[in-house]
Amino acid sequence: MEIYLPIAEMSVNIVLLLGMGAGVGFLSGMFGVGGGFLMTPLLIFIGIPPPVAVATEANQITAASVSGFLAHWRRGNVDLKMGSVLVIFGGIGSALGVWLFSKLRSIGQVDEFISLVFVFFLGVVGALMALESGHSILRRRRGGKPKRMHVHYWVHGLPLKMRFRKSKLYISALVPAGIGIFVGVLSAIMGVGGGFILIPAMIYLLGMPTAMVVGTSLFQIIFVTANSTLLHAGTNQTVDILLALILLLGAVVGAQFGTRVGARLRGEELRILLALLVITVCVKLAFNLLTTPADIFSSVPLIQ
Amino acid sequence: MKIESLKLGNVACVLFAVCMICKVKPLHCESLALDFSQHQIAIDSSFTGAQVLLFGAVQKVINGNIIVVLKGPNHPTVVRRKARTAGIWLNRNEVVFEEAPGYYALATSAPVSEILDTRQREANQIGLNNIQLVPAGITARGGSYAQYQSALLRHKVEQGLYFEKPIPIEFVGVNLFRARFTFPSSVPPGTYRAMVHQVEDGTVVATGSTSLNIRKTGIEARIYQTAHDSPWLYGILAVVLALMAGWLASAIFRRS
Repeated sequence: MEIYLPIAEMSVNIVLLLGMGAGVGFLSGMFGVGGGFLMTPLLIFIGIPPPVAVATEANQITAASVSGFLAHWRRGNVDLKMGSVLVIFGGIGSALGVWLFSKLRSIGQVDEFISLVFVFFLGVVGALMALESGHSILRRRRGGKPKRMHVHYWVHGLPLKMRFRKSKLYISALVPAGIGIFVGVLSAIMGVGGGFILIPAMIYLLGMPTAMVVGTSLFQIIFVTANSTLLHAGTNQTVDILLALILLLGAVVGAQFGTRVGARLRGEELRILLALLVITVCVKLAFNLLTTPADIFSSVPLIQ
Repeated sequence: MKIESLKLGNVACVLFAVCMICKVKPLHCESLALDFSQHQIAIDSSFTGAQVLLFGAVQKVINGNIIVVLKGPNHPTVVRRKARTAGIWLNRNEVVFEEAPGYYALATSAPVSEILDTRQREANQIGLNNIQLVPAGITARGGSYAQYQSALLRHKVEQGLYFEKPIPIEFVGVNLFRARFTFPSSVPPGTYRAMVHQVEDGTVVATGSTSLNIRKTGIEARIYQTAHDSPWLYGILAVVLALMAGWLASAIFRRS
């Protein structure tokens, strides 16, 4: 069954779109990542013009994140105080990111920068998570000494301490603020929610409990993607409401199941699965960058 | 898609009128009577593409050949070229084609090179390689303009918006001809203009043109218009819709 998309200006099989939405929504609910780094390439692959794919994806992630966030909220797995700090500084970061993006564009070669940043962060984050979670799974099997409540790093010694009751943390507010800005900059440059950076940062830098991380990350992603949706719609007119609606119809259902499956898994199992996913996408992107493409030319509609 | 049956009577009337005009006006180049099987293609949510017939009539028995060029609205396109930089394949150069038509189809009654010479084909933009694409910002390095042009043509052919081979023109009786044009679902909306030339011994003896309108209707048109007329309002609507949809889904799943 084909449906014509008014902004993408083409017709696509509706069942295919629903399936893609459900698949990515499932992962989104399970890991608390928006899934933008999976869905955007998929949309481009089925022929949606890239600017429309990026903008519409932001809109769809907003909906999927709301649904996932509410599910975690009911389980009490959201640290609103931490989330708010991340959102506020994330906003500052994304304003900074938009500025940086236009600077890079004026110099030229913004595309290569984005691809490289993507591969670099996916690779580093994926490898670190895989190592850490693999290590802790092994340690549990061997029956090692019980883990401390959370690990203390040098970042915990910074001033301006703030109490985050939900996460059982008493740390410097500078740390989540810094993470918020950093993720905001990256998400503005790369056009994703930033969950795949935010989650490891919350676990390893802040030392938040894994259960709390997913819901809090979804909370932050709602704001980041709502902001990009608005900016894309306002400046480029590339948000396809119909496409987003179909994708999110699949995604919200997928996200509900994802949240349930995620709740049944142990923290380190969840982390190693996310690590594998991140590494897979990284390898695929790196492969695209390194191998000779079938067609070295690409053509896209010009957007002023 | 329905193809209206051609009303021969109407065409005959038009033909007669054309003949009269031609007799009065001392024209070098005579006019052709043309009509599309439909003048309006509506893009709705179930649109998957369309086919349209172009009918034409000449005054006398057809001599020589017919050439039809059907062009869609301009669709500015960027063509990018990847190059290997420090082992990595990245987009390095780009050419913007300001006036690339969104659709271009050529229909002929014989191989085009036998009908018109190169100079005339260039002058009338007949054939894929003669389309005026109006490139801007050609970069010095990274290949010649011709490479970008041929890449653009190749991509458009792959998308079903341009055609590698001319569409055959069929003759019906002694003075009627027709050509069938196919539009993919990604066809850009707008006005499509068909230019028709009747050629005898390398000279155009009669020309004519007619147009066809492709436009979005219903909800598709509403969405498109809102997105372009009030983009910020549209953005807010998109966000609100997403928030509500997320909340709704979560509420439904909570009960079950």
